[in-house]
Amino acid sequence: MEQPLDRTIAPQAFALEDFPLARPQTFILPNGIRLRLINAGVQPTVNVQLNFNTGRSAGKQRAVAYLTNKMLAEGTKHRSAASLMAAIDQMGAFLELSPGLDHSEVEFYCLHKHLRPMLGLVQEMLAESVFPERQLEKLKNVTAQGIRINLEKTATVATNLFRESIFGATHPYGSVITEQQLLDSSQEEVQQFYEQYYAGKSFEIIAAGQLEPDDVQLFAETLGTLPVSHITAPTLSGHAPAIAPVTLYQPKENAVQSSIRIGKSIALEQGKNSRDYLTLSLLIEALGGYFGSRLMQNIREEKGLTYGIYANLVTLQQASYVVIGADVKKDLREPAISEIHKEIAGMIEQPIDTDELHLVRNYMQGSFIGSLNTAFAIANRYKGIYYHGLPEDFYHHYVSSLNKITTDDLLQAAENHLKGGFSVISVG
Amino acid sequence: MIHYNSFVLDNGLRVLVHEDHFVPTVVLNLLYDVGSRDERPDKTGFAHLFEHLMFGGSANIPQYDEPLQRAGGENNAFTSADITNYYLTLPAQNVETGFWLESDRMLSLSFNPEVLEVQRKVVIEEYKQRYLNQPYGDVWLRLRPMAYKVHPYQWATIGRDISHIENATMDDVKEFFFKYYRPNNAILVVAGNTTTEQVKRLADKWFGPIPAGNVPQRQLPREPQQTEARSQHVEADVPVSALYKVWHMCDRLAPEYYATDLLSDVLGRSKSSRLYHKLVEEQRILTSVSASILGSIDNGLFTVSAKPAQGVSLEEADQAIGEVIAEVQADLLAEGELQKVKNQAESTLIFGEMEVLNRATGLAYAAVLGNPDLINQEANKIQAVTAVDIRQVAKQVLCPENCSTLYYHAKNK
Repeated sequence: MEQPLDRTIAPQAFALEDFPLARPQTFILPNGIRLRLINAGVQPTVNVQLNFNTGRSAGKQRAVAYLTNKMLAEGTKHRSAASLMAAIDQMGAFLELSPGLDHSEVEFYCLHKHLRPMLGLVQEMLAESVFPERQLEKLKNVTAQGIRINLEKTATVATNLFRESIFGATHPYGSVITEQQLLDSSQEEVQQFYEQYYAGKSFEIIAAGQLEPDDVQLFAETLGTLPVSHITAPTLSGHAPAIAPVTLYQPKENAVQSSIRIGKSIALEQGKNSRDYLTLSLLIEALGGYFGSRLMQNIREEKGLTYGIYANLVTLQQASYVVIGADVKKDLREPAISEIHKEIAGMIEQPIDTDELHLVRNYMQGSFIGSLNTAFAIANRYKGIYYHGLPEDFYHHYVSSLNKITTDDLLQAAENHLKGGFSVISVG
Repeated sequence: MIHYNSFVLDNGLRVLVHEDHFVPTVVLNLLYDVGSRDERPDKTGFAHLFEHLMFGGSANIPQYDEPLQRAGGENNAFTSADITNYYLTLPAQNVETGFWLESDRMLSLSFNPEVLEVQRKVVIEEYKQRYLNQPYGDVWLRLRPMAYKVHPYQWATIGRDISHIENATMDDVKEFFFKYYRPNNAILVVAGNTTTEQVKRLADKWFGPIPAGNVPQRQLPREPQQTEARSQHVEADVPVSALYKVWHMCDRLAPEYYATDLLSDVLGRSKSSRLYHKLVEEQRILTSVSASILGSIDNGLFTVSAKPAQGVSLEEADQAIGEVIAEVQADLLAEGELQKVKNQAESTLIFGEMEVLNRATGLAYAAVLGNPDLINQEANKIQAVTAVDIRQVAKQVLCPENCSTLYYHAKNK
């Protein structure tokens, strides 16, 4: 006779094992540019990312860096902005220009059959951009309007104030582009920035998708023909400046919620010590990285104070910070803040027990494996590796490395990194 | 081409299997054929509140998320006007955990009153976070009742009024559950590193014993033809004024659906679209503009939204948009422009099918429309659209008497 079904007993769940990521192949193009190729996936799709060392800037220079990156698609010697856009749209391709805090990117997605013409267009944008005044005016106006709208969002204002509170307003990681800085940026400055950091300057390429080594030829005959010289963008000296923690509440009259940001800068030796990074990642995950986390369970699932709350470990190239964020019921802002403090303190006062460690670890392992089902996702993992100087096989051992982290390690990391010094920002 | 096998359990649960042995995971996508269009006008927001309650423990399992996370799984869900969709991803070796969890909450919820109390609060905070505490956040709360006078699409999925959520009772919850959350009102798609055989065995084991229910036949009123232009002016605390226009369009299965979709691409999908090119790039009347469709199962909405440049009034913006629309009503598209929007649609389809989860959700949605194979027919239907079809839709849909316009004015500070 068949066993009756006992629904109170969970089916056996099996431990996860290391998952072999597709390995990138590295090629050097004729001009010395390094191309990393990740061939994976069954759809005829391609993602190409170009990474430029545009340095880190603050104040108005930050606005200029932003505008220069975005202006690359606003006209070349041979094509107007409209004709560039029409060409890209005609192929059903997507161009993304991303000026970042540590570097800037030019990236596109297209079907494999359009790879050659897309590479040609990007080559033209890099070598022959002209920055027409009329296009710059448009971009400035559109961006300024976007800033004005974002400043109406309590979440944006809170994030800006938070970054300023831990890095200082004049630090590249703490400075926020203002409308005035944008409007004050001139075509000459944009042109100059372009010449300093893009035109004839070296960059790195990661390409992912259904790509064969034969495709390297397509890169060689386009981006590989650009004359490039290597540059070293100015680096920051050491860690972010030591700034005293700030507690600040900025009311907003008609807001119905308050946006809270609580966090601090973290002294993390990236790359050199990836185990430290992994331990801290696991700790922050347990605090607020997933639905079962302590913050989510307490503040949403028990108290219903918010729709969502998170804790993130943010690692920039020359600084790291941890941030907890939530939009909460306005009149319960203070109780919410005090509950967050309690949960932080809880990580230091008592070691996470084995059961919780297993829960969060299994979740991270499963979520990692689940995130690797496209070539693009794998490329992004490698991007993180190169960006942070982690060993190239870091993710090959990710599952087993997580298994080695103990409750003692976590307590130690909590004591090292989460003891005091938190800035507390709320807006709304 | 998305391959699949399908079978139906005795209790009416439709099961689709899409095998992909290149991924290390399995997705379970469980779609319930119920959305906010099935709500009573005095109990709106219920389908969505219900989605929250589905995570608050079931008949035999006190907590949904924890055992899933312990097995390395992740999950989420969404509610729309038409459907409520739950999905989870697990490492392939732990797929049975997904069947166990999903089947138990289909069997019965725990109906724990504390869960209702907390989730009621969470949903109210969600309402505030998404709709009230964002600039322009309430736009759809205003547009829907302007466009729909009879059909339940007149309320947003979050609900017409917060008090409906505040007043929901446990009896309401139970009634809703046993009415709609039955195997014969659901579609299960299992996709990824699995086999049809394995899915048959696990579906029989876990979902097979759940009794079928009496799911009510859906009888929704059809929205009558709109016969005169509607408009509304509002003032809000936003830094920039904005314009929103919606026109009634066909339902999801109508033959002109894809022509309507491509028309919205022609007008306002990307920077080379008519509206953007003429009004943002050339004339500088607007700073942003976009057009898209709300491809709902019943008759949907074609929408255009725009923000005028400094010194341009909403009325001037409206008129300029009208002139661009008049062109697509008068002239046929050139071959190149038609091919462009088809290429964009083709590429969006292919990129959209990269993730196994998207394929699973797409199959479930096609199945609820009546035939899972619809997902594989999309590419051909897009290619078959002609310039004449598009002009026809432009004339039929984009006329003033079929339109509702929301003038969203920035308050002078």
